[in-house]
Amino acid sequence: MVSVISLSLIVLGTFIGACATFIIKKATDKYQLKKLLLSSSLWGGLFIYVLSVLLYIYVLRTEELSVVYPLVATSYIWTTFFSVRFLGEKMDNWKWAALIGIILGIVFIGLGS
Amino acid sequence: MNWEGKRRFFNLNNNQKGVLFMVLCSLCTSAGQIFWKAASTKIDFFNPLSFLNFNFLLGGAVYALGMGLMLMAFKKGDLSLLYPIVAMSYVWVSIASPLFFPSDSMNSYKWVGVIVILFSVSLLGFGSSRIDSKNRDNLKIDFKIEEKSENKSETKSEYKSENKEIKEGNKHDEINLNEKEFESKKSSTKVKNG
Repeated sequence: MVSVISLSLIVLGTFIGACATFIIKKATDKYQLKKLLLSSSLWGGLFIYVLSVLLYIYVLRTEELSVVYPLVATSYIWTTFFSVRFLGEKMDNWKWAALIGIILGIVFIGLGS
Repeated sequence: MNWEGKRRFFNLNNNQKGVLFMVLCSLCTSAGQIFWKAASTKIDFFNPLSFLNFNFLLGGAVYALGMGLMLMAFKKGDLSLLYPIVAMSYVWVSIASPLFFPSDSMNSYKWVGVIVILFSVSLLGFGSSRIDSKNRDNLKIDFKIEEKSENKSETKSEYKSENKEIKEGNKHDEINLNEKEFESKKSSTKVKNG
């Protein structure tokens, strides 16, 4: 049985995970390796990342993989949105097609497991 | 292949190095997941001592190595290129887990998924390299334009000074002056001819 609450929880989890990835990327751009390992933004990012993973595991206990996997794949869309909007990276049609392809592949693996 | 050729082969640009690190990262994280799955049967959430399990600790170490590789990759390249490569871990896990866990098996859905993901990740790299080469061409064009403008800088400054004079002076005066010059030239030529 698919419940709306757990689905919205997992979408929230992917959004939080994408925020964490963005924070970590910002930290790696800003600091050299030694300072990076002592920086609060890196460890804060990793902490938020762990939170998103915990949400994911919590939802996995009740929902089926074939439902959860495609929703987890939305994290790639969030991350791409962040990197275009805030990091000034460029996307072209090939990269968008690739992103859709990756999500499609994950949907297939979810259906198979 | 001579030495030069070999050097060029290993001479990857930053995005390509990032992709290499990211693929290694996905290998490490999927290995970590497999170790954790192997450990999960022995772990009791209410007994902390059960976490001191060889598979669980090894999985954690490999996962941490993967995270380190991810940081190195993020330092090199674009997030929109590198982050979706995490999806490679779906490929490694689906192929490897039937080897370690008899209850798991490969099926046609999973094979299709694996092939689609592999194809899409290479498509992502292709698109990114196209964007990179376009940026490089634009930089070259900018550089050429700068070079040209440097060569013409003297003529440009001359133009500017002329324009300033025209703007500063009254236009009617300018025309009158020109007419006077013209007449004086005419007269001078007449004098010469005469």
